[in-house]
Amino acid sequence: MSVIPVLRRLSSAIATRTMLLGVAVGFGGLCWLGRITAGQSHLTHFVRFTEWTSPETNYYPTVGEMMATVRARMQPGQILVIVGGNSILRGAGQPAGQVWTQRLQTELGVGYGVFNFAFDGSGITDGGAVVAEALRREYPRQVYIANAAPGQPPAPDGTGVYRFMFWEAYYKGLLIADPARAAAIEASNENLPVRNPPGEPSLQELRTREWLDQFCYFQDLWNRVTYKDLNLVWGFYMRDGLQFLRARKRYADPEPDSTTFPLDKRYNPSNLAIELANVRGCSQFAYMSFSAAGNPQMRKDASGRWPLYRPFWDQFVAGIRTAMPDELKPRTLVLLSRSSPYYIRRLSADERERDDLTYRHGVEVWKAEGYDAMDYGSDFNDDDYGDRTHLTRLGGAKLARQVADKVRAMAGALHYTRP
Amino acid sequence: MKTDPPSLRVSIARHVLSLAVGLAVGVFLHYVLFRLTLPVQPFIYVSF
Repeated sequence: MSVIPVLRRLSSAIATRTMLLGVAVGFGGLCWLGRITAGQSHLTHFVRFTEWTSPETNYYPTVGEMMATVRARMQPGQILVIVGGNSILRGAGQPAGQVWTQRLQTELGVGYGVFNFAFDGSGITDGGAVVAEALRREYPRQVYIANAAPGQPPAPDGTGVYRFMFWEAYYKGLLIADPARAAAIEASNENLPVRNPPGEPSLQELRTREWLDQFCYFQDLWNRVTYKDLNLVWGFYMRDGLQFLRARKRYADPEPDSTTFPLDKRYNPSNLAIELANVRGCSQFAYMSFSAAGNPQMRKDASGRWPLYRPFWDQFVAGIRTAMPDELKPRTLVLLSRSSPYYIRRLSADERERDDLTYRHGVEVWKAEGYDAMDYGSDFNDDDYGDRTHLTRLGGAKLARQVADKVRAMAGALHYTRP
Repeated sequence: MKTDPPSLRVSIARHVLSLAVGLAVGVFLHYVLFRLTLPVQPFIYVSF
């Protein structure tokens, strides 16, 4: 018997209306289940996002699951501390159990609840920022921490692959309606083909997905299944064969301890030129001038000072002014991450001065716009870095001490604690 | 009026089958919506 007659007999056995009812109940039931799931924490023993719980392996954590993680762990009376930013603050090079945010929790004590929602390559306005904003009413005593390069303006709706978090929260009504930010988003998204790297969804596709998710909650539901029960999303780096079906929770945090790497791996001599170019890149457009002929001059002026390049800083100020609603700026701590001294001491004396000026001026500008800010790394040594920019567990411990002091000071200034 | 028992059983079985197929299709559509809206290309992080 061929397949067609069998299918015909099967289809004749189906009651169309009952089947459609089943489709509606099945689909609607999962939407309802997804909504319930969004309020429950499934990231057990959460310390930070690893490659198994990040877009690197096609796992896109939702704002809902991060909010649920906070609610599950926060104790009454605690001040909420959410860490966002990039791989430096995620603790790349710091093994499980020795992540800098664990040290920060120890330094701050039981009065604070610290959550590391940083991702590799994410920026100040990504995941952690969105979650903190969404929890602003539930946990009004909060500090949000993220890092940035000096003079780097943040994207108001998030960075690259992480923008989905902003739009998820936007469509679920979790964000502050801020006209200045909305105008900045519209302006920054004018040139979409340029803003979207190959392979990433266009903003229209991404917004459609998040618009649908406000009704269907498919991200929360299937993320939970993928994490707890059965990995339904294949990703790079996953095991071959059927091994990849293992639930994501069964994968260990793979982060190595970068202090065990030999120095020539941490500071690979063959990368010296490109790393020095990266270090110079942090400051070379911040202090420069143009000759009468219109040629850029990256040197000190006649008075022996580095000339501040206004257009660079004006663009930066415009960016940070609209990156967050005003009410969130005072509780935001921006960390400006200095490069390893291994590279800094290889700059000329003038370049070192320019680098230092850029970081110090960057801190001043963030503060002038209503944020709190500090730089770190000027008193760190080669062992504190696993490469040019990422900290080892030793550097992470130093950062935790400095940030803890700052967070306590902010908590006092924001009247979170009684004098 | 009495319904023919075998005919009733067939009718119930038909509706149960239809509901089960419908439920399976509904669950599948929900998963498809999730899976199809994920980015196609993998995100490979390279630090600079």
